[in-house]
Amino acid sequence: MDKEKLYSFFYILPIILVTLLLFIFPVIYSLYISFTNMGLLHFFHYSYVGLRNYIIIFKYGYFLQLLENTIIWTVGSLVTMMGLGFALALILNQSDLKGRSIFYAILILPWAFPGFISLLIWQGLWVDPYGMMNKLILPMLHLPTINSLTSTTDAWVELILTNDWLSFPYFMVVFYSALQSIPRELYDIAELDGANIFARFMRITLPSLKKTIAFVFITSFVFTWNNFYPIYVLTGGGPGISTETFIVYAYQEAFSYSNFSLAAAWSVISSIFVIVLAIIVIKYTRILDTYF
Amino acid sequence: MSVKRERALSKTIVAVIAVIIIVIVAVGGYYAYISTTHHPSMVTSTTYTTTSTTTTTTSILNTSNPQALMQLVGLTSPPSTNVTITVWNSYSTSENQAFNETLAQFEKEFPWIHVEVTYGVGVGTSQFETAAKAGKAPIVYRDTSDSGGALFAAGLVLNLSQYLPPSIVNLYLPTAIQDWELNGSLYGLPDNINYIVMFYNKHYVPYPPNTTAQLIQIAEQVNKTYGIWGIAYGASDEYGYRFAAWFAGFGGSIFTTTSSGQIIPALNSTAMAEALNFWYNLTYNLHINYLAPSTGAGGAEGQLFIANKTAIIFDGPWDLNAYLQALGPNLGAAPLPVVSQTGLRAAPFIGSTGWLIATPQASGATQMQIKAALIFILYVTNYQSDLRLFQVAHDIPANVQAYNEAIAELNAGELQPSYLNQIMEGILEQAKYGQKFPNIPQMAYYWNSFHQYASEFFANKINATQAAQGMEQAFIQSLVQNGLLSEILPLPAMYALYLAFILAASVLVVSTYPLIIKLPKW
Amino acid sequence: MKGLSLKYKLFKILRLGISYIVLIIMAIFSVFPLYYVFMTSFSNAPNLISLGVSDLFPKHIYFIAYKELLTTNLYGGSFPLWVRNSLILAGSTAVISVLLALITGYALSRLDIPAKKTLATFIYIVTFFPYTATAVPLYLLFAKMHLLNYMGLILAYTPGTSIFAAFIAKLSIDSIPPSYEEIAMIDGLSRFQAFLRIIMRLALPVVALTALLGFDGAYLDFALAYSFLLPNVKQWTATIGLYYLAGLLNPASAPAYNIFAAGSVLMGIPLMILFIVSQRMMTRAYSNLAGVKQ
Repeated sequence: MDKEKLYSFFYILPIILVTLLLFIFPVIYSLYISFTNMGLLHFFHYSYVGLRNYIIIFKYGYFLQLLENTIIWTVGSLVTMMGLGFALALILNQSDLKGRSIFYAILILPWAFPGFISLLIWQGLWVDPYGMMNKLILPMLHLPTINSLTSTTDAWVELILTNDWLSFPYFMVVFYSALQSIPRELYDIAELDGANIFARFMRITLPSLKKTIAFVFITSFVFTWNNFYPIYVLTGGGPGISTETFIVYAYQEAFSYSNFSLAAAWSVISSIFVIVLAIIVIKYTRILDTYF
Repeated sequence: MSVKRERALSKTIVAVIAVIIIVIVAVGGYYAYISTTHHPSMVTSTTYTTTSTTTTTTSILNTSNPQALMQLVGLTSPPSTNVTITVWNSYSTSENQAFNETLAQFEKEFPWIHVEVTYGVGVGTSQFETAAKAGKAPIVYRDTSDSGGALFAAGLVLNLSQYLPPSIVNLYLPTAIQDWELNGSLYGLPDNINYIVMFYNKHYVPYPPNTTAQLIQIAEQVNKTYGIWGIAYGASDEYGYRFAAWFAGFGGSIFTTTSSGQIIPALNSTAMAEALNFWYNLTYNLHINYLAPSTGAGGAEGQLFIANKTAIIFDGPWDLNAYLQALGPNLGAAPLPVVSQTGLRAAPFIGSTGWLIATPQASGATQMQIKAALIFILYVTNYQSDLRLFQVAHDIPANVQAYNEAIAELNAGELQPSYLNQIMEGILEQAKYGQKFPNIPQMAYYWNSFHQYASEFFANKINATQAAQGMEQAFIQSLVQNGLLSEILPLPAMYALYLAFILAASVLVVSTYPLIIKLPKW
Repeated sequence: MKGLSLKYKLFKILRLGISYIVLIIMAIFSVFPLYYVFMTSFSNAPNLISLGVSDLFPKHIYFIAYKELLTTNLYGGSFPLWVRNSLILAGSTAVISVLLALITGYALSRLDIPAKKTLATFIYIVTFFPYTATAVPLYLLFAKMHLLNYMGLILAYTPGTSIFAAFIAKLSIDSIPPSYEEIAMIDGLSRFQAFLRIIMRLALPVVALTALLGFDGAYLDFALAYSFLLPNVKQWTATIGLYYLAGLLNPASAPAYNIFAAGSVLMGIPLMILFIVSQRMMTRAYSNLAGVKQ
């Protein structure tokens, strides 16, 4: 029995080592840095400054503005992406719809194409008035052009639309997979019982997808909260800090302005937020319980 | 079973949160205590005990002769084993043509020095800092004088004054070499002088505007007649490098010195508000300026200029080749105009790019490698190399001899193609109307403060006065945070803030604890 | 009865009609940027500003961008070489990710490990820490361990994918009856052999998904690869090379939008094909998320 236990331990050992090395150690190190004054002017020789960095953040650091931005970014992206993905999955799940596999194959293309290249493409598309979005598409639809340099609203529209394009196929695929795994008989029985399409949706579809939605929501919530590439590439957090999230700001503090300790403090604050929120959601939905 | 699991989960969660918060509060509180007893020291400028190797210097230093170069760094003969030095190079494509010739020449003359070059590094990159932190920085690095100054203040690059005789500065133009001195120490050797000028398309612009009134008039004319942009200047994408010229033209200066000798920011002035409003007017009211999202030959500004879709841009000679290829004889260059309201010239930063050597702590270099690196940076900034850079890529030489030679060629009208002579004249004339590029460490915190509020201003979020106030405040805050300005917070206030933070953290723990333990079932 | 069926028919037409309209709009939305970059790669417009609407429906096709991309030699580095490097890097990452994910998923599903769930939750939550919190310490750590190379990159890329994939693998393995391996083990296979032969085969969709995600992540990463590999141009990955050739790395370098587009097409299309080929597998792997555990 002991041999068996030891044996099991070997299976789990790699992931533990990797986690310790690549997550736990760096996070503790970052936490440590956040209590020092490590930065350009204290590069090799830095000292402890206590909560100084945190005080700076709360006193000068645009904390509330960044929190608001992060929430706009995360919630705005998630709601639209998940909604779009869910709607498309439902549409594709209609058995009497012809050409489903063709549409499916076309609609997953944005996900299949390398994300960071797509971002660079979108950056070009959004240039006002020379990018194709502002030159061709929006005028064709009689919509006003979008210029992230001249308006904060425009900047958010640009960011969230781009993020939707990048991510809706993922949600579509996941929800479609889940819909496909619902036994068809359930619907047939409900139909015999005289339940209309809406009732069937509420009674069968939604409950069956509860787990998937919860799981996808948590992973995507954390991912979007921590995702800095779209903002960094498209608006750079601008105008000013109007579209700057915690992570983008932390990244710029560290890699553009060399304020390593301040960046670490921002990262710590951001992490606390996302982890507490995620844990509350995990707890509420009891999503991990259903998997173990 | 499920209850048990639930409890296991609760325990983990509580453990995770509790550990995070407790660690933060405990460590923070502990150091808060420590730091109040040992107050964080303000700027401790490290003074180096100068042990400069006194070399027997002949009256005129010769950095073109291999033997003389070796003597300069205290070598009489090549070492028995070969030396490898790593070099990060930030040249543009055309500059690299010149550099590669120089490199081939160098390797022929110094067969015992092997040079490993990394191409494609951008200037002002944080990559160098990250690498330095790990002791993996390149031994030799090329950067601008201002970010070089920041690296020097950080202790990442060598104080060359300790290694080279003081007379070395005579090899370079005073304008160039002064950009590489901080507190009397030399931290790099310049290979060019750079600043922005006004490039214009002669096809659209009848004569280079000498005042902003003329600038507006010409731009409006171009706009009306040809239906293209008069000017493409992405003021909202600015970090304040080019805007500094306009700020100066409206009578402003970035720093001022207090009576006690402290250097403090002076962005909050009517000059700033007026300069911002000037460009706002051209952009939003007169519609003659395109608020470009990116700068340089590769950015929107340069692309428009190359595609004949804007008549005027502000850019530096480092992009000259791209414009020369596209516009040919239609390309014109002239100094930035006089600001009509004030009668002052818009005065761009006169900066310089040059070569630095990383400290052994940053790069892990041996003494012999440092010597080889010294030889290398002297060599790539010597007369022949710098002249080559001028001839191939049209960089303005920083080496006195090369500069004189370039001027002589220019005066004799010897540049090819012939219209290049006039363009270079325009570029060189700008040097008369520049301002010194501050390379004090404070400068590192100017860029982002400016950028944040200028871009909010151009996005119609705030007015010019608010922008000027905001950027000044942000600048001061960054300086205070980095110990470059004395603490504004009085100590009792510090205590109160520590206390408030710890209190808030405890409230967070206490309030979330029951929530985590007893959550309603879904 | 007839009225009802008419109503039903009308409803069906309306439902399908709306579905098709939505699908067509979304299909155009999905394809447009890709079509745009594809067409740009065959244009001779050197930059974004000079691209016209007519370039989307070109009369002439130019191959200059591809020619330049494939023939440019940058001091010993070249695009084909960088693609090869990327393939090696991404391939190894995919293999290691699959092994790590499956081993972990297997352990979580089958083996009796103390505090299994606590451990799983912990590992899962740890991945919530952002890149910005780990980037600098990781770089310093890897520099100290002399791992600023492909080995280090593979090590750094692996866990992100594997931890996510391990959860799906666990669910997938849950649905394979344990008796399969027990029979195999009675037949004389060791547990590890049984794992390799039975589990890996039956959990093929998860294997494919993990491999794809692992490959993708390594193939496309820029930030980490750039900081690890910058000094040696021959070791660059295709992503770094593309950034450089497009003039994004060093703004002073000559930029060319159509070269960037050509590089995007060359890097993107194979990956896209891989994705579409394996989409069936992916769908099946994700359907584990909805599965109900007894």
